[in-house]
Amino acid sequence: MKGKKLPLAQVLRHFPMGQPPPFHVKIQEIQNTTTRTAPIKEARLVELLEQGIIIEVPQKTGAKGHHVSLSIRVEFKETTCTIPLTASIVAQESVNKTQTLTLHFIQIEKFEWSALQELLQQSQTNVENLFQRLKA
Amino acid sequence: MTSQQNFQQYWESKKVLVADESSSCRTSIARTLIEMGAKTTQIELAGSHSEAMSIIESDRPQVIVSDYFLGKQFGLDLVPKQKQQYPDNRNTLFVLVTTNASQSAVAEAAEEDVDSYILKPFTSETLRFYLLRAVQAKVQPTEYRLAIESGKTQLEIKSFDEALSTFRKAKVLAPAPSLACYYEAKTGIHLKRLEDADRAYEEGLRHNEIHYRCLSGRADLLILQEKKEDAYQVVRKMVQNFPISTQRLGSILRLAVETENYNDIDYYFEIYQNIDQRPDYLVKTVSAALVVCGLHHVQSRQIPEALEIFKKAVAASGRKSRVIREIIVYLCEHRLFEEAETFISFFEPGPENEADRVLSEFLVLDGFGDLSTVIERGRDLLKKGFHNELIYAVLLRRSHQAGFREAAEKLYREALQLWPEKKDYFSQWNQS
Repeated sequence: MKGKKLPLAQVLRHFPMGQPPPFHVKIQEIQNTTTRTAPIKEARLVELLEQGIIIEVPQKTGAKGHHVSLSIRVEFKETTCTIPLTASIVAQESVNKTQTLTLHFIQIEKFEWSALQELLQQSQTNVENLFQRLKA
Repeated sequence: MTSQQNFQQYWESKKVLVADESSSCRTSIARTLIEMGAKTTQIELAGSHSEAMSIIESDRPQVIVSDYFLGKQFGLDLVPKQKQQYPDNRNTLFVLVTTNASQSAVAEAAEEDVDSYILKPFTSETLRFYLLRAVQAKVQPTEYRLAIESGKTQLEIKSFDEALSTFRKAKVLAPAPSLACYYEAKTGIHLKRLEDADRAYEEGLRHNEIHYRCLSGRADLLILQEKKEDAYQVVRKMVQNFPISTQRLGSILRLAVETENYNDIDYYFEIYQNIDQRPDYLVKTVSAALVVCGLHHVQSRQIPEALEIFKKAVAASGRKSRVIREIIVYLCEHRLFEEAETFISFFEPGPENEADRVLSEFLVLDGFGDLSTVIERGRDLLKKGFHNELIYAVLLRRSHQAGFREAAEKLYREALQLWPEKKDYFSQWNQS
């Protein structure tokens, strides 16, 4: 059912191998735990790193060295998975009204992170296969 | 020269445009491109559709990396703009980097000259891998691919005879040259040799019976030749094997209605429901197709099925009052007043929907109400300024039933003044 929260690795076991259903990946909320400012909802996941992520947030969300806590939300049609994590800001860049933060994980459930990486990789492979089949 | 040097050289010689609403994404993609060999001074960044369009106009980038969505507009719109600048596809690269993983979006991109489709959020390795792969296909094409691209350029600059000869030569360069057949057919259509074009499509489908482009091209050709039944059979094969692009879904729905394949419309509605971004024309086409499908069920006296389909039409239209009114009018015409009444509750409140709502309520009342109530309500509506031909028609009929001949005559004259072209329509109701 919509909104039901389950671990991602567990959810993915229910789908046929290599056939993940449609989904959306979002940042649910981010809080700067160093400055203890109010949580921010307008965050966008830009890039996945080996042990971190790059996100886009409003200006002045954080600075290099600050710690943040946030959740990555994976929304399927029927289910939602949330991956909570804490991270430190290792780089920041300001462009116009936004800030790009490079985060290095401090704490994240390893299996969940691997499941997300696999999900995205599988999804890309499926899209590529379909794209090439259509263009053949 | 190593392939690494080859790629390096490729990027060094290219002007690049990165179009994305997110400044972080633009920067991230640009950084990867620079790591791959692109020159910082040759990369332009655009945060909007209009900015991207004007950069294509002024800077003529050979490589475009764009998001699927650029505000309310689409990155795919940049493809024809780039093509205007560079008819020769061999020198250009168009890559979509997007969160939109829907199959219809992938199909849409494949129908355009998009070279790669990369999902967000990406890793820099993924981005690099698929960009390299796309470049590789450009800088190290097979002989067959080279011939196809060369023919496409000839097609683009309207050298049709040359293009035809190139595609025919390309056919011997691959064991299953369906793509060459597809382009041969396309050239044939430009030359108005439609029978030859159809033969080329058929040849392509003999090599690969579910070749997407040959199927879609053949369906379009058969529609052009008014062979709609045949076209629909081809479309069915496409739908069974491939996702359908948003653009194509509209034309498939129209074809399903025209060929009276009403039972399939529900299935297309399911596809429609899975589309994230629904353009206005598609919303209208889907709700219209569902209404027509519902009408068919009413005529076949499959009333529960009809009502289900009508409800879907209302939902698909976003509860457009015009659609609800149309359904109620039709149900009342078939004396299904109880069923019509259930649709009244679908009207959204608001003055913009009032005219449709009061008309619908009046038509339902005509089915249930006694003579004097209907006449009184109809007169009241006219006084309030709701001048609708259906209200006049009901009032005319009911006035005659009640023996109010003078009132009926007056209504008849008023109606003719408002709709002089509908004399026959009102005359049928102006009889005792």
